[in-house]
Amino acid sequence: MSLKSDFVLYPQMNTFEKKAYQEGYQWVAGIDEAGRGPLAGPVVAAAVILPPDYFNDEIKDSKKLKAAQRESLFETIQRDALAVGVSIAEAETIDKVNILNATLQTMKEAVLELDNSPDFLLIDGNHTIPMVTPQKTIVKGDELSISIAAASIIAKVTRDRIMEMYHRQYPQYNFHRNKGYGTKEHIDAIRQFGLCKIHRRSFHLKNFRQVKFDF
Amino acid sequence: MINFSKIKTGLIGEELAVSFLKKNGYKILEKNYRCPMGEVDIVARDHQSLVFVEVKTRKSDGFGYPEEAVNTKKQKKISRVALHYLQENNLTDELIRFDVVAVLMTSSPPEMKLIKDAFPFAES
Repeated sequence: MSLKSDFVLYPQMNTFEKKAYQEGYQWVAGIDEAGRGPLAGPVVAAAVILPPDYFNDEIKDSKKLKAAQRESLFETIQRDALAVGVSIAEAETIDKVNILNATLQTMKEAVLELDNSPDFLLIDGNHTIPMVTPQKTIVKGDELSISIAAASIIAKVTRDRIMEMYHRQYPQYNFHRNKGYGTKEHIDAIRQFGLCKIHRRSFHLKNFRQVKFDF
Repeated sequence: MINFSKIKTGLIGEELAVSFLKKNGYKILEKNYRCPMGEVDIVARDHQSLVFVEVKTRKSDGFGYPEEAVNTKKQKKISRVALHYLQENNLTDELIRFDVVAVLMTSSPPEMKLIKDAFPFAES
């Protein structure tokens, strides 16, 4: 058995965290969002501070996990994390300030929701958030940083739960299945029933009613 | 100091709302449903949907329309209470809705308005 080959196959997901702690930072938070792409529903951001030496090889990019695994890890993270912050921007806000601004603003609010305010932020993607706290953006951060992966799981599970509630209010769109994403079923439903309160008007959805759209 | 006149206005409004909803075919399940998350004025059934109703009573329309008085904070609170109600009663896939009954006491008889699907579920 070779440890080295394991390392190559599974790059350590706490490299960025370790480096930040070595540099003297004490509270390192990972930040990610869920729901930038969908045609309906909120964008949810989460910020997670894990204990400095924390490692759990089950925590990875939420997109690579099954719903049941995410649910169980959601509880694990809530239990093990030093702090978890969540923030939600509704479709109304997204339409008002556009999706990027809404995402960055709600990421900031997720950080402000943390009980312990972090002194270093690891952020998924390539946009810094409008805060003075030192931060590092990591493209594919949810695959490379355990804190960002943990935040991605919190954000995704929170958002899925919200979409399930929306399904119970607006069942014609099957939000519990498509989570607001532009699946064929969802677009057909928009054509048939029009838009509901949680659709993002700024995504030019009214076009779906007349024009055939390719995805 | 407790504003009794305000409480009285609210109570009258709720009674009016209950009979108004009944007239509209709603089956009233709970009045002033309370839980640790807060309170919701009326829980009712309208066809297949379980409806959480907020009653807004106004003695004057000087501060805008009553149906606009359910702010985001209140929406979140009602949503939390609704979630608690669903969990408590184990209603795992019931359809739900949030309605507002606006009662304007400026005219006699008071003007009633039912706003169906007043707002979407608001997670806090």
